[in-house]
Amino acid sequence: MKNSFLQSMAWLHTWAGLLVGWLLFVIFVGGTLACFDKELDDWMRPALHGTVAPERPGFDAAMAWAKTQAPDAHAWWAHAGSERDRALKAYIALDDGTEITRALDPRTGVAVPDTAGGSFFFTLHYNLHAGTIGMYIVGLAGMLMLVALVAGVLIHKRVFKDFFTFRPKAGGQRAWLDGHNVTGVLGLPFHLMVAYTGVAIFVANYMFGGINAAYGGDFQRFWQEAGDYYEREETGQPLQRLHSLDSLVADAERRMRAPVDWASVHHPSDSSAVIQFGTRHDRAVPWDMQQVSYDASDGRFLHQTRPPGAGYTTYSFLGGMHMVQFGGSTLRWLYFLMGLAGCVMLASGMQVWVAKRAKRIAEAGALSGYGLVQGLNIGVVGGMPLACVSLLLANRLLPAQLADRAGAEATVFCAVWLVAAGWGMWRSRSGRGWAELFAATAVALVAVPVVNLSTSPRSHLLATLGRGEYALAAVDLMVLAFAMAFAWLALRGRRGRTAMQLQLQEG
Amino acid sequence: MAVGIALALVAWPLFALAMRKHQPALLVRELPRPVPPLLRLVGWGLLGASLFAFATAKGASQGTIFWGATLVLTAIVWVLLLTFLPHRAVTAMLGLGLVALVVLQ
Repeated sequence: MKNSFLQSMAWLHTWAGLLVGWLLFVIFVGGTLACFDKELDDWMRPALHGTVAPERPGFDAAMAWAKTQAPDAHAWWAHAGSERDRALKAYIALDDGTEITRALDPRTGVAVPDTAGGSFFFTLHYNLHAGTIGMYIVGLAGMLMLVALVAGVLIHKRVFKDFFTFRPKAGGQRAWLDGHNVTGVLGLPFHLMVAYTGVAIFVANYMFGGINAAYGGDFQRFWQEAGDYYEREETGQPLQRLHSLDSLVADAERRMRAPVDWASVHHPSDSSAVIQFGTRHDRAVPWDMQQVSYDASDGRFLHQTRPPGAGYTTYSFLGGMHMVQFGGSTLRWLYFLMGLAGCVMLASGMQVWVAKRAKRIAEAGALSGYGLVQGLNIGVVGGMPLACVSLLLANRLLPAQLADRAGAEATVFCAVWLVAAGWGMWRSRSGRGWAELFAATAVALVAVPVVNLSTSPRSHLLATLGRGEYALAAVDLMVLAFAMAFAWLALRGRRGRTAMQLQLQEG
Repeated sequence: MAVGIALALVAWPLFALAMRKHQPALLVRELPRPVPPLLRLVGWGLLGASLFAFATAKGASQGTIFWGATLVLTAIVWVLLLTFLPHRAVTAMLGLGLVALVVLQ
């Protein structure tokens, strides 16, 4: 314990922030990119560019594909294409908990080349692609972020006096601290909201006492009751014929008073199979969780969920606020920019720690605790952007027919990040790590539209602008904007290194 | 929504003008004593009016979220202008407000 309350809070802010800072940076980068996960999904499927998704979703094709893959699956799911992502997505949930996913051409039902897509970043930000364990790790990081935010507010004595203060020319620790304070204080409402709602989404997993007491630990039954979802026992008899899902869409839309977004068939090989439809979450802040259920053998209407209670609506509101499916592209851009501010807050916060101890790091060398923090800063903050760009490049360069193409893209992401992190940590000894990684990222970013032009005749910037597919064009344009930003950072990094060396020599 | 953004863009410079710390960079001389509290009051009023504009355009729940997001980002824009273009920051912010009104209306 420290001598005073403020000192204790400063200690808490420093260590709660530093311990999970790198992880939070990964979560924030993933979450920020996931604001446009569907647009990135669409960009990463060039086979569908230039096509238009049918107005009424056709789910039968997706179910037919699922049947060829896993006729005895636990459930088949399909997501209709939308203006954000035109692919018809088919999912198969197997009894062992694994899932098979495939994007289909919404006009023909034919599978298109696989990709990790923007969904890769979405999954990365909530479970690090590590399933339940990853979800708990991310949850812990979110909770520590809330602790660090509250402690940060308490120790910031000049919060109002320094509200607009940013002194980048002051250099070193002062400049990093100002950057950290400005993005932290001005972005505080967003940071608090996103950390709190992010943790709240998985509240049933983090605070399971109530479910253990009332439902004997049966999470599925809890959610089923909370959302009034329909489920019926398997009979063990085979299903003779699956009723057409497409013929039920109009009735489902009439009952829900909303467009159908997804369809599912639970235990599709059993005579008790149930067809369910749900709608989109983009019309209001809370998720619209209503569902209608039909008998899969004859299409008979079975059940419609009742309007949610206050508790479930509150939960849906918090989840909806986090996932920003409402508000259109304007709000997604606002979240994206605030997410970037969050990344800057985290990166500058970790650099404050390093800048404050620059002398000690120089004395202790790279092979010390101080050196490790410095190296991890470069490896994570400098390496991850390069890995993200490499995913986009891999999407265009890997052969379309490659088996497990999505997995190969993810492998490229991880491999590039490992190499970049190793390089950055090694070069941090000479102070060149930041500048070199930023320069490499800038070059890789410039390469994206160039590779796009040379490999995808229907997907390059001129083609997408010509067809008025502005969401696709925006990906290339944003990549170029980021290229300029990283080139600028690389130049700043070179100058900063010279200044720091001079400071250390004088000191 | 354009009105809400424009009002937020105008409100932040008023708060900065009310702070003695920023007055040398933004103005030729310090403001007379009764002016800063008045500027602060008008700033709060504009932020409130901005919330009202967003709530009118987008409804109470979505409007509040749009408003919060706009406040964060317009404040960051203001800090960047204040840092890199201090003498033209107020004019630039008013210009951005005008652009928001014309382009987004």
